[in-house]
Amino acid sequence: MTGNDLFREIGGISEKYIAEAEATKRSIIHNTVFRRSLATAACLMVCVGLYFTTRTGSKEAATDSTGAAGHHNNNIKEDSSDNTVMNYVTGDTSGGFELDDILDFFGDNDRSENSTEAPAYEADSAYSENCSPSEPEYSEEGVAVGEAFDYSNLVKRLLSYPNEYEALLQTDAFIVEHGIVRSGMERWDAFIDCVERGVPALVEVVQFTDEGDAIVAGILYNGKEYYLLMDYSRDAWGNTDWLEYVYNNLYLDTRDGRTKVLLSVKNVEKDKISEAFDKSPEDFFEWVEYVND
Amino acid sequence: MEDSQIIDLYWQRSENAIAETAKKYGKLCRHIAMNIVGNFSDAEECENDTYVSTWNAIPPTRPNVFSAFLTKIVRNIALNRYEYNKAQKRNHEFDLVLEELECCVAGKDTVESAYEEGVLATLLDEFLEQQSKEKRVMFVRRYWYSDSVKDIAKRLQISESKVKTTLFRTRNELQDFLAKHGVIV
Repeated sequence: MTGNDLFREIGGISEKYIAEAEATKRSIIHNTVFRRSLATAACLMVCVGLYFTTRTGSKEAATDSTGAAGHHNNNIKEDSSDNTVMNYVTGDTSGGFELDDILDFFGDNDRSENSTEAPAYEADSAYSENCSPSEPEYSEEGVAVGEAFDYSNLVKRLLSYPNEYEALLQTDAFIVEHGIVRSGMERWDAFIDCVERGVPALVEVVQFTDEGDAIVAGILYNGKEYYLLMDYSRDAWGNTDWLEYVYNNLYLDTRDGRTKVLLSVKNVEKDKISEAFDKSPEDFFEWVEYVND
Repeated sequence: MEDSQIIDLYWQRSENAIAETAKKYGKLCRHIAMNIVGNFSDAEECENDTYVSTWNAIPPTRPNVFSAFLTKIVRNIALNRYEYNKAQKRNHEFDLVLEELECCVAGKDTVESAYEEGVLATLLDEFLEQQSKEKRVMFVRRYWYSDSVKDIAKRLQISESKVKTTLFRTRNELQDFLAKHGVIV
């Protein structure tokens, strides 16, 4: 028997395993997330539970924009021991969170209770000239709480992105298709420039699954930390998932004509990032990789 | 469109069946074929051949899991194409997949009767059933979909070294399992 024979025989395995390997990628990711941040997830779920229990009577309490941000950051702080994936917004379809629940939870008052349509995408002219749509405000703790960094706005903005490839190319996002930059390089460069100057900034990034579905992400730098929110809702093979990550550092590992965007809580000297990544890749979240011009 | 509706189109002999199949699963089929044959033109031909085979197979077949049904077809077609092309050119990534599997059986005498068509697949199902979900997904992604180690690591959000280590252990376990069942002695 040869490797080729065995490969052919593997072709005859049960269809349930083939389907499982394709369909469970997100749930495995989520399981990892939960293993890593069980305490945070539990805390979040309690908060979510409390919110939905009381939503009919005291919606205002949960829809205050600073309140939403405060809740978000409380979770982030609690899981600092783990320092990787900090939060899990929703995604388990069996858990019953729908689009409207997400938006309600983060304080979107503009949508009707039964609406399932994402808001229409609109380019923000100020956005392309500055690091963020408007100047952020800061609380005493240094965390942005202004309109530009209102968490619900980021959720809405990601949801507003179109599904069609051609339409995506017309947006403000930095679009990377299987390692090739398709558009928005200047936006990404502007974001990196802002970050290097310590200026709060926000940029949206679109990547694609093997099947061609868009994964839209927003990364927000508040001057201290990086908040990465990933919207998997367009992924036809996954569940309606939202994942949120928080890191202290963003690194660009550039070599062999390619740039890898790495996020980490680990402090590494810039010129030693390649070495540090090769030595312990598990310390980094490999987010985007693209071929340089 | 739901899979059952696409299958209904095949049963009605509607040509839209192929268009809808291509729309929903074309990229997935191309991806699998590309992993094996290693070039776009061959991958596209494999994809088109898959639609023809599917058209010929449905009816009378009514697949339970349409995506798995399609991808099985494209995988077989791509493997045939790979073997056809093998003398002229090589796909190094896929060669690596076959070499890894070779290690499970290399240097062993085969008990031919034990692996008649379908028998080994049943044993493989049994073996996979015994594995944890994560290990099973990794194995199937590597040896069914022919994904690269890097792609698997990215998909499962784990390090490449963990993927390599896990696959290495799984292959060893498979070797023991096959030996235990008399497939290799």
